[in-house]
Amino acid sequence: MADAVGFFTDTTLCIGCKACQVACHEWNALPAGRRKGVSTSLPLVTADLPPLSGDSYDNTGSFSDVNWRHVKFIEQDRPGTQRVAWLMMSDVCKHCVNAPCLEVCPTSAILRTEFDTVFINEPACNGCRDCVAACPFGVIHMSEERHVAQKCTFCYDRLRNQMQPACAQACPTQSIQFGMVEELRERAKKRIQQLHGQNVPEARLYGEDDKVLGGLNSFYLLLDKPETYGLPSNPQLPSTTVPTGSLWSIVAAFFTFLGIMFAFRERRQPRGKATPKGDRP
Amino acid sequence: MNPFVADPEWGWWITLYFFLGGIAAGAYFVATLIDLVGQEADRPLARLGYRLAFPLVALCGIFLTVDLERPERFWHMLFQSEVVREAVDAGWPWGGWGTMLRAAQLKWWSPMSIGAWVLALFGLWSSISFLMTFRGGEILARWLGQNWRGHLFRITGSCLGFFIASYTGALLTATNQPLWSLSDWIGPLFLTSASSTAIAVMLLFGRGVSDETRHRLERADLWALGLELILFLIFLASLGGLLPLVLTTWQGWFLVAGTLLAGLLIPLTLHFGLLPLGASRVTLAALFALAGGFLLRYGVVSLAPALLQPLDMHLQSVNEPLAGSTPGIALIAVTVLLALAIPMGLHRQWRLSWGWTSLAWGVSALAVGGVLFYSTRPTSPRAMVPIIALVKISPEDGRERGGGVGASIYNRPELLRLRTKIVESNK
Repeated sequence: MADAVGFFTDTTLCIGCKACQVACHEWNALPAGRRKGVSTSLPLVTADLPPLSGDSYDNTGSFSDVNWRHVKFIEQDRPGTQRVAWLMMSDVCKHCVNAPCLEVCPTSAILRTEFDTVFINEPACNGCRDCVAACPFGVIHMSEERHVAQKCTFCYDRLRNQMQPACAQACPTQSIQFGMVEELRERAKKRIQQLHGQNVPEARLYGEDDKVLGGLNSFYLLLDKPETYGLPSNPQLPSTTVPTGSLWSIVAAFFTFLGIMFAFRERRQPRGKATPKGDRP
Repeated sequence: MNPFVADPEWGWWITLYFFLGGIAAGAYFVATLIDLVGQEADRPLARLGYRLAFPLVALCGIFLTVDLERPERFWHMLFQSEVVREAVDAGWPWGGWGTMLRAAQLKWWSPMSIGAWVLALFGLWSSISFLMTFRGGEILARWLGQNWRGHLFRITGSCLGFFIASYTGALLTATNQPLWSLSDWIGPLFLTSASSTAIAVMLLFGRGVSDETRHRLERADLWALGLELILFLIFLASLGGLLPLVLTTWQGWFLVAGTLLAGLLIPLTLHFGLLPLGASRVTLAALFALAGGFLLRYGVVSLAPALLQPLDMHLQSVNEPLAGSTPGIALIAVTVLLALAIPMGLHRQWRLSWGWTSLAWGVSALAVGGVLFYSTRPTSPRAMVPIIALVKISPEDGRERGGGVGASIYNRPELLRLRTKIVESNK
């Protein structure tokens, strides 16, 4: 397996032009799509929302089956002033080194490619949506047309043909940088040093080391804590929950077995007479 | 905790599967236990258990298939489609069996993958047990009757049943969704709820059985409900600082009040005979237990999507210890009260000897301990046995950058079909 490729997204350089989103739609032939409301309960109610969200310049709202990239506009009040500051970030599938979606996929439709990226092989997907529940970043959505899971392919077809992903090529400010992960990590560390030297102490990297899911092949330079950008600090790998849950389930099964067995075991005296010593009702 | 996830839209079909699958599994293992240790007079009840299990499992299979976005590909859970194609090309089922065996697909670290296999096996087991309860199945019934073969067969089936009853909880926990991924107790809770709802169905449908048998079944129900109550209280405590937020949603009230009152406390009160209801007492208890079992599944399944928005707004508060909030204090108070009252109720209404009553108090103390353990510390999912949480069961766990295929062991990139604008001749 070749070395890992990845994205280093420097959010300080993002100008919110959405060229990456357009390039992604363009290359992958993704339609514009409708903006849908969030379902909040059973029965699952989703409603079409108006095309303009009113939420800053963000009109796609979130990832969806046709939005594999999503440029976020985070408006922050500047304390002591009447001004609002913008944090902008082009979000995408993280192609996790320990990928929750790939781990749970029961049909093995989600694969690890030779570039270390995570790829959904559509003909195998049967639409169980376990990957949607597993992804800590809300990346995967179901296609309304083909009814299979959809997400960024890291332009696998372009990689195979020695081209870089469409989004990185389209980015006019080098906010999205494509390359070998090891090289990108070096670049990111230098950039952090530079920013800290320029009195931007809040600059930090997210997903560059192995702390988040073993590392993210698509990692970020942020100017605030990850939650501000809608990124979880400590996502979990699904399988890590299984041993503890199994232990308690086995204990519960044992006690259930014990209790019901006691309830049905042979009794020397019929009911109604004196309660036998040690009898349990 | 993570409010940034997408909603998998697991809805009614999944809720019904969790509920009915639990009843099927519970009915099977209660029937097995009756066959193992019960009396001759209890046998009709065991037969009822087997007759309930298979139709319900079959229904569950249909529900799960319907829930898929691509139902015609349901078998992809069990077999790798491209290897099956090779086998078919090699003439399967008249030949190509070697290829077909290679086509099987199991990722034991993924609850859904192993669950699909166990559900298929449990379907097979319960169908055989189902057939044996009818006239035509006498030959089978003789071979797998009250002998070691039969016992082994039924115990295996019960283990599969226990698995089905609890893995549905593990399936929810093995995600990154709020609430689901937070508690290790959903699996064991679903398991005990499976036994209490199954016993409820047997109490409802087993009208033909003797009073003696019914009495024993009610005793079993008392135990199942008690165990479920303990686990439910610990489950609520394990949600930690999320519990106050859960109670801001109506789904949360369905879960907490619905399960606690309808599913547990009302049936227990009725079994204790504290209300003058006469013959309808047990029927009513069973109906409430069933409603509670359903509300438990509905509440848990519907809460994860319902919590996304409130969680996004209160991301800090959910890490606070539960004991500092009103719901936390109420939970501790209710737990202590029930831990004192229920063993006493057993002693008075069910003539439990003082020795056994003390044991019941001891078990109740475990519930109080569990609730106190979780509610006095910052919310942390795997706090109780941190060592076990370090066990690595998946090849994806600890995989390094560029470190091979990880959990996609059935990875065959050479077969990938791409949607691409690149024309082949360009290569």
